[in-house]
Amino acid sequence: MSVKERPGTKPPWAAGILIGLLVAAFVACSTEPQPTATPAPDTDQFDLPDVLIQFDYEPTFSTPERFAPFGRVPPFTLLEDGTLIYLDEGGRYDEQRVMEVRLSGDDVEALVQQVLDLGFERLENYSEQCQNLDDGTGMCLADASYTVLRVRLPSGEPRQVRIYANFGSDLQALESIRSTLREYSHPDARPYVPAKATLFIRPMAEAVDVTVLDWELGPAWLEADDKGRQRARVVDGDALATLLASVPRNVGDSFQHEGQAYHMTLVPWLPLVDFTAAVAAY
Amino acid sequence: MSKLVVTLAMVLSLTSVACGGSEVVQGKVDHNGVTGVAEGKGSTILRNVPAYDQDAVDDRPSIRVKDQDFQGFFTSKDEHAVITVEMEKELRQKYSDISYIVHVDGDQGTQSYFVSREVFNRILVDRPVRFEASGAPIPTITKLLEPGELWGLTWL
Repeated sequence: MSVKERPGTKPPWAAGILIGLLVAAFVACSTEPQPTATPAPDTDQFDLPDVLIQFDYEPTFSTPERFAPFGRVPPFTLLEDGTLIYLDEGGRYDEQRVMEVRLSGDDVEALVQQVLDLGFERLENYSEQCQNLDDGTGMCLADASYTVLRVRLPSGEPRQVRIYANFGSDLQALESIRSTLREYSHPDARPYVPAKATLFIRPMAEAVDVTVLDWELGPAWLEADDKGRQRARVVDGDALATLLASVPRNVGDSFQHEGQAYHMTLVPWLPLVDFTAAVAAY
Repeated sequence: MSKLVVTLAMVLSLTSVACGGSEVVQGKVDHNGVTGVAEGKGSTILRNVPAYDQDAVDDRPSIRVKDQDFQGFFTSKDEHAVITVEMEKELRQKYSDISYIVHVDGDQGTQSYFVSREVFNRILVDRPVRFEASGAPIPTITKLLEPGELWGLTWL
């Protein structure tokens, strides 16, 4: 009986451990096939008329704001008019920026074709927390994110797949597409200047190993809500311009006001989306 | 030019991961977890969550022990979960399998990695991390590049 073995684990499992896997939040390996829930459709369609390619993710365990579409920036979005907005990781994690570039029609077509050639149409939805492995064992993982890939096919069909962790039927295709989109860089790209963004501000007990800037928008922006929670606000116009001019990156930074340090997370909105109502209800 | 070389190298390394090779990953630790299997059912034993989690204490990382039997492992003041050999022995009296998982926030959202107890103890929530990982579908951290050894301590 072979069992996937990792440091710190003691194989093998009893076969009975598989009961209840679907609802359990855990990581483990098994020698038996995993049970399956009601099968999800192989693919979905998306309702984003201008999107040709989009790489997004959905967390299953994270900060509250990231569960909302206005709380995270899709790492890669290519629009029909050639506008490409992507996350540039930079040399370090804290150098991340959202970039924008306008691609030619030929470049757009080539990019879509590249994603198709890497196997996008072979990918299918996968929503289980467990997967059988080729060697007959199984693996489960809790708290992982979903990868969401959206591509408008040459037929016009807006095809979307949503895959939990690195599971699914074609890891090679998934990894190849993700790495291609993740590593995309264009020499003419410039930092993205959104028309609107979501602003999250939270006080910090102390600012460690970070550069702290002076807060320039006034103290009203720094007020917490009645429950003392981090507040989400829509920022646009002059306020957004002031913010973007004062920070080296368009995704947030650390500030101080009257001796109190704050961390600001800025989530630029993509063109043609409006989360105003959703942010107000947050 | 150097950017291109780095990009190509990373693409190649990621491709090799899918084939069983290794990759270098960097990001910020979103949260950590310890899981186990008891009486045929898997569950999360504890999570180490970052400062910005709404349940975190005083805007600092905190440890949420989900299994009441092990609440005594940590106090509300503890920020980073360190699991000693003795702690793991206690866990093994209840759980037949213990796994350590690190969830790293990078430019693909949050990605998950298996890790040994020793490396788990060195990785700090809400801090930058860089490592080599290999394996599929869920990679295992094989070498920790950042943070390095701290103050010459030998970790339990």
